[in-house]
Amino acid sequence: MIHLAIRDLRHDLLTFGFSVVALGVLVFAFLLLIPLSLAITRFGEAGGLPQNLIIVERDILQPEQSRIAPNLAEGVAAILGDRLNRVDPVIFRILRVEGHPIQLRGVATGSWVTTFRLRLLEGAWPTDSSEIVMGQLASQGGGWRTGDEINIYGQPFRVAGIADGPGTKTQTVWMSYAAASDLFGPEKGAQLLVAHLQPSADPLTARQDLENGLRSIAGEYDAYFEDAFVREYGAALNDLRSLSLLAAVIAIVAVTLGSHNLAWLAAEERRRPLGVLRAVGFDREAVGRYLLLRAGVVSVASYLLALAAAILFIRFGVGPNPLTIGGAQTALILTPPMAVLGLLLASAATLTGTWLSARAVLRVSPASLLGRGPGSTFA
Amino acid sequence: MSRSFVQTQSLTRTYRRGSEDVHALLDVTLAIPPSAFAVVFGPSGSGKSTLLNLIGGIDRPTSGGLRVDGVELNALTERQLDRYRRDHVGFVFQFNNLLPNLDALENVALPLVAQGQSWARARSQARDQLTALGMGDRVGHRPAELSGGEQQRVALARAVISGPDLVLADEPTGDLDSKSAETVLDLMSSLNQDLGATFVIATHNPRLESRATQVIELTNGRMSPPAPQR
Repeated sequence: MIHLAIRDLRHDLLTFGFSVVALGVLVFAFLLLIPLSLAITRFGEAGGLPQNLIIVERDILQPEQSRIAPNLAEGVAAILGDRLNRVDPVIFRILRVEGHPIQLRGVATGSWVTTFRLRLLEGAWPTDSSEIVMGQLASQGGGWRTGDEINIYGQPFRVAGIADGPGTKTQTVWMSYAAASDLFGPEKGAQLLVAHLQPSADPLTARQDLENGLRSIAGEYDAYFEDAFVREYGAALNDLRSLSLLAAVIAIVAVTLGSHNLAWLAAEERRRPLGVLRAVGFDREAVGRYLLLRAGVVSVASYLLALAAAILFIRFGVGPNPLTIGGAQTALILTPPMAVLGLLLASAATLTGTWLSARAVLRVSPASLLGRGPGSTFA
Repeated sequence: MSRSFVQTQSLTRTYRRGSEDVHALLDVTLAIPPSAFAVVFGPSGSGKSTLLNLIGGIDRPTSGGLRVDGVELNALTERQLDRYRRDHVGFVFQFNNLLPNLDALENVALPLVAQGQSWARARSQARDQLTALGMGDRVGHRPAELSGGEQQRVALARAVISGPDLVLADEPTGDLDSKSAETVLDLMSSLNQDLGATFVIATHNPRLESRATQVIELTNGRMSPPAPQR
């Protein structure tokens, strides 16, 4: 029957091509929406260091909107006592640097290795306030190298080195607190306070004590573990993830309905040839196989078209402009298991849609398919 | 009297059209002997095609008995009816009903493929069959590239290639000029004699009466006079 199916499709290349493109667009949407959902999920997953407590203004979602009172660091130090290794105010901004969304962190250079566990990948640590360290993702995203000069917020800075930290998901530029304060002015002050605990300290107890203490000294702050803070920030994107998953499901349902309609149209247009096949001896199963194989060829062709388009789009469309959410970079990756899942779902959707429509045609007698009843031209 | 190959007993086929029952065939009783060249005459709407549909197993009667070569068709399951058509019946339709996307060779090969043969083997046999019917030089042509007479010869080749016991032809010359019609009728007569298959032909064409071994007349779904046998 595959011979008949291919002959049939070759005979009507225009309709075949239209069917392939129509289904291919939906499969393409599916192949992009699933990686998007997973990219958002990955973004929301825990990252950061559990020994770091972040103090931020209460009920603030975007960290750059938070403001930390100038004397809060002393209060935190008093609450945590000898459990505290060090506490640092952080100037936090999300801004565009030469067209790339960047998280800028202005924090005392002494904390970079101890608190933030930055590891120098190339170059050197800054020696003065005109130098910065570039995070690895930012370096990759912007194509910046050690020694490059970049313009941040209207002021030139030299890239002293490239560094990476554990669980880093963002395109980040690091500069000293003093340099950041000079750059943005003293009005907004720090946005976060990062308390780095001693290894011997129990983080949960420390956090509880800090929350209780903060309420007594200043009620409008929350304390999170750094990983929980990242997760909290990512949770705000849950709706977007749900929407993209829903859209992916809709795309597959649309493939089913589209296949049903295409197969129904094909079967209706071919009632007479199907009747002939039945009359010359092909049974219902054989004719059903013919319709399913025909739909299967359309399905595979649609899938291959969509897969090629998705790979090209991710590589050349998204590739040069990495997916960034709030300054955080997350990769859009179409993995082999996702591609196989797409093939399986697209095939299942096509075959289900075809089977639903073919069932109705196969149920009737060959005479009815041939249009041979009273009132027909043959009666 | 010879035994009957096709035998019907009060055969009736009723269709529902809206709230009305339409009797396409009503109470038809007839017997056709083996290897007959039976011709069914009757005006449009008289039930000729319906009778052929029922005998060919592409439709089922509303009531009555229908035996072909001793087999009661009413008792067959759908699958058995599929096998009956595949192994015992060849069809020739008025508008030939060749598949437009297949060439003549492939159209003729179809019944053999339905029987489980490979396309290569079926094609080879189809080539011989088409050559035997004078179509050897047209095997690679699609139906649209053939004349009406040629199309009908291809349809005839398709009907007989699997060696059926019964060939049913519904207005096989209805769409042809007189010369092509004569060629097709000659072929059918010779195939009837060569193959020994029973031919049942529904037609308006009075020239067929002279070739018929049995004439059946239908009017408004009923048999007219008793069927004469020659």
